[in-house]
Amino acid sequence: MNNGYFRKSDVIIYLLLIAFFSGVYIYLFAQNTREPQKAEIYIDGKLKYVYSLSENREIDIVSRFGKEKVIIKDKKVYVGEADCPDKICVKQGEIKNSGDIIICVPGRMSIRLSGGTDEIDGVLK
Amino acid sequence: MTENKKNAYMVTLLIVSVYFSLLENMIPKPFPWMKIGLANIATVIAMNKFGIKFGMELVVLRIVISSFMAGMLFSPNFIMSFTAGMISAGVMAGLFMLKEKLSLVAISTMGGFIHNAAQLLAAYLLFFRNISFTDRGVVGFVLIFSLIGALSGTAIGVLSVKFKI
Repeated sequence: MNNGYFRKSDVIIYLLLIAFFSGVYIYLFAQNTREPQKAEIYIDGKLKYVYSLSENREIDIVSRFGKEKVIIKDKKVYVGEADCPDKICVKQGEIKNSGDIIICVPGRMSIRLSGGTDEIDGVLK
Repeated sequence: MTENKKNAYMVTLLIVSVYFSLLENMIPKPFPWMKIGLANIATVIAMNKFGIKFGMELVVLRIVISSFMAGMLFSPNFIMSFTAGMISAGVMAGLFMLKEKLSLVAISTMGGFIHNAAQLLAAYLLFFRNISFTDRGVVGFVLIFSLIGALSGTAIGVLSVKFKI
């Protein structure tokens, strides 16, 4: 049985998809980009460390899921080394906008940049 | 089609889908679960030709066999592809019930989109529950990832119609 390339009711499906994509797209650009203040590091879904972006440093993260070296340099954050097999977090490169994230799936680690004054300060452990 | 010929066709579809699954693991991509959905072509053909039930069976067998061969059976990756595979196959099955009114291309587009969206949802529920959905990075990722799914679904739909397999 061959349905062909196009039927009238297809329009409904395409409209649903277009509505979804344009909604997400508008949402994405309606937000203003803020200068991030801190890097939040999550391990296995829990907030573990918060670092200020104002000074350069290297952070070695060791958890039971893996090891990563997170580098903060000139208000940008990247993963320098990781022991995961795919190295996707390393290849992703630098993040610098508030809300940007780096995710390492095998290491269950994620880094998120955040800004604003209403958030917790300091180092959590 | 005789019974024997039909069985041979079904086995071939399964082998092709397992092969595509494994092939996809080898393609370098920026994110581990960013799938093009090559294996979906076999699902679309199977559902179109042999019905919904066989399509669903094919998805289950394909995911179990290819994860087994890649050495990833019951790993988080497996759970993610299994959830996504089942959800997208379920949606496609639902749309196939309306196939008098819908074209194969539209069904496949929706299937590809749902597959990647479900995979993101599974990843979110399994690993990253604390990440808020409102972050720019997360939203941008969702946009790109689900768009890739929809486009590959369209391509697969066009291919399935073109070759009339």
